Amino acid sequence: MKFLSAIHKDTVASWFFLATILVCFVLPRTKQYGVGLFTIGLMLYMLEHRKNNSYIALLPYISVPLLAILLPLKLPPTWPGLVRLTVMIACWNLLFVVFREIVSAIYKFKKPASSHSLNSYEPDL
Amino acid sequence: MVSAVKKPYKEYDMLIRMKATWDEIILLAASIILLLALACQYPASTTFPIGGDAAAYVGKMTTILHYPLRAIGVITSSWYPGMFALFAPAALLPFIDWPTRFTLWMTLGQIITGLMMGLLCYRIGGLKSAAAGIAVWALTPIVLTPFYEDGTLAQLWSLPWVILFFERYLSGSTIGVLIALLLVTLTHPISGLVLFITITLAAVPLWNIRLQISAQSRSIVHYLLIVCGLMTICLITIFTLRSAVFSIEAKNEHSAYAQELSQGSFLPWSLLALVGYISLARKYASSPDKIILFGSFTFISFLLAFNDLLGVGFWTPRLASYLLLAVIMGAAYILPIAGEQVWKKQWLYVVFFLLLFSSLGSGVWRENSARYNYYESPSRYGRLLRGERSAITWLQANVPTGSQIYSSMENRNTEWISALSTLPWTPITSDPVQHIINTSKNVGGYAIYFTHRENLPTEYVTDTIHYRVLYHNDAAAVVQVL
Repeated sequence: MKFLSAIHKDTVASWFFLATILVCFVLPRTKQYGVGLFTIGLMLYMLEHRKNNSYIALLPYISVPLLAILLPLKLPPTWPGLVRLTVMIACWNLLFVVFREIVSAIYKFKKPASSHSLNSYEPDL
Repeated sequence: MVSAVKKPYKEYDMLIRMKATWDEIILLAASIILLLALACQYPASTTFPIGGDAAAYVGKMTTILHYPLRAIGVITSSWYPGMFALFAPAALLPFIDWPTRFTLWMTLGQIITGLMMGLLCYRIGGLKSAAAGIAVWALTPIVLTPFYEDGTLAQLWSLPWVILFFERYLSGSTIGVLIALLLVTLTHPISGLVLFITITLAAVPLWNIRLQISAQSRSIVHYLLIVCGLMTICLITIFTLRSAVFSIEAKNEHSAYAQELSQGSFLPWSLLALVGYISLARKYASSPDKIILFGSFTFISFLLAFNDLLGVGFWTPRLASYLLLAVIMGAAYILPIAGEQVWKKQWLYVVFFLLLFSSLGSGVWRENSARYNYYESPSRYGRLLRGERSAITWLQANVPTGSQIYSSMENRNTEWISALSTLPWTPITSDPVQHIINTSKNVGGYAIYFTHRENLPTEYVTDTIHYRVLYHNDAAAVVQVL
């Protein structure tokens, strides 16, 4: 654990992210290695920022689409295309709104805590 | 402390006098060169537009310009009324025909979308993000988007306004947001619908947090909610008047573009975009309206792009483009930040960027080159053949103005008859000569056969008493009933 706390995990995570790009492009048939590298990088990044929970706001945006993929709706095949699309969007939007309200009730938006992180760059606008 | 209200002229002044460092200038120049090279590869490699919708755009545009009295009818009956206003300036291009103008306008749309993406990324993450955004968008023709191959001019030209909508929101310009929304809806109503659903989805949380956000953002949110209400009424009216669109059968379409995003060449950018959004959530923790709006757009575009996996499969290839925009924005934000974390020296990141995008760009160039060669090859019959075009040109020059032209519906190349000749054209499911004999012999007319996919019956050639073959070449024949 001392080793983990000593290294700058954002930098290491960035190495993994760039390695993901290179592995996926250089070895396109073994993308699973790239995904593996990315997962390690993401875990390091989340570990570095575990005290800052602003990403919780993104939970509904990530989890509901995953849920939608895992549980596709069984709409009648005779329905016209646009009707099927509308019903699908309406159903998942409804679930999404409910989930987002639950998350926003738990999580309140805060100002960013860290200045030396992957967010340290601010454009000169 | 940044003042809450910015004057517009000050904002543009900052854009002009942005203090770019040498590395940012190199990155930006390289990404723009890549964008221009891969976008211009299309007109440079093809001699005629590819894509089934091209003929419709050219045909309607020439009708509007040649017959101004019909313009209102054409515009009101079209789903893309704003597109004709955007396409009309192409008439000013001298010495080239409308098919070439169409190809150039497609290219221009691709370039403008890339530059708009750069502007949005600049607003989010600075010049290096802008360079990354432009460079990643530059890689998308053919591989990631259907615009060039389908000739979907309106959807391509709606994307700059979709991006502008978010860019103007970030800059706090109420007028800009409303104009962008109007442009999107007029150019391509489906893109407008995507933004409308995004705003609707974001409406409740935006209303809930309106007291936590800046006065500027609050003003935009209020306007957006009003516009959202108005758009609901407009859309209900439009879809009630054109309810036929609801009866289009679902074909269970799968999208190769969405597959590319999730498993193919764009997978690394999709993964990076995830980190980009997490990072953006932290950056905008104190202005949650931005997270809500971007998040809602990404969520909706995800549902649309992968609707085949969600049990629908409707318009899937064309609906993947919106997710692509969201992915590029997230990835372009995080790429320079991660790059600078790894390479502390600026020049090392520049070298990495140049090597990465030049190798990716050359790969896309090779891949697209093969695709363009495919369409150019006459044996593949991917587009209108020279002989077919010569026959249409002959019709235009030799038959009386207003003569009715009939053809079969064997392929979509016949759509070019009215687009290139401005003669009234009627597609027929049966044999066109028999149709003239049975229904409109008194009216007269000419039948055209594109012989690459249908045979010209020999009796029309041998029976010179009843039929006359007026024009014939290796790809087409024009027959008159005597």
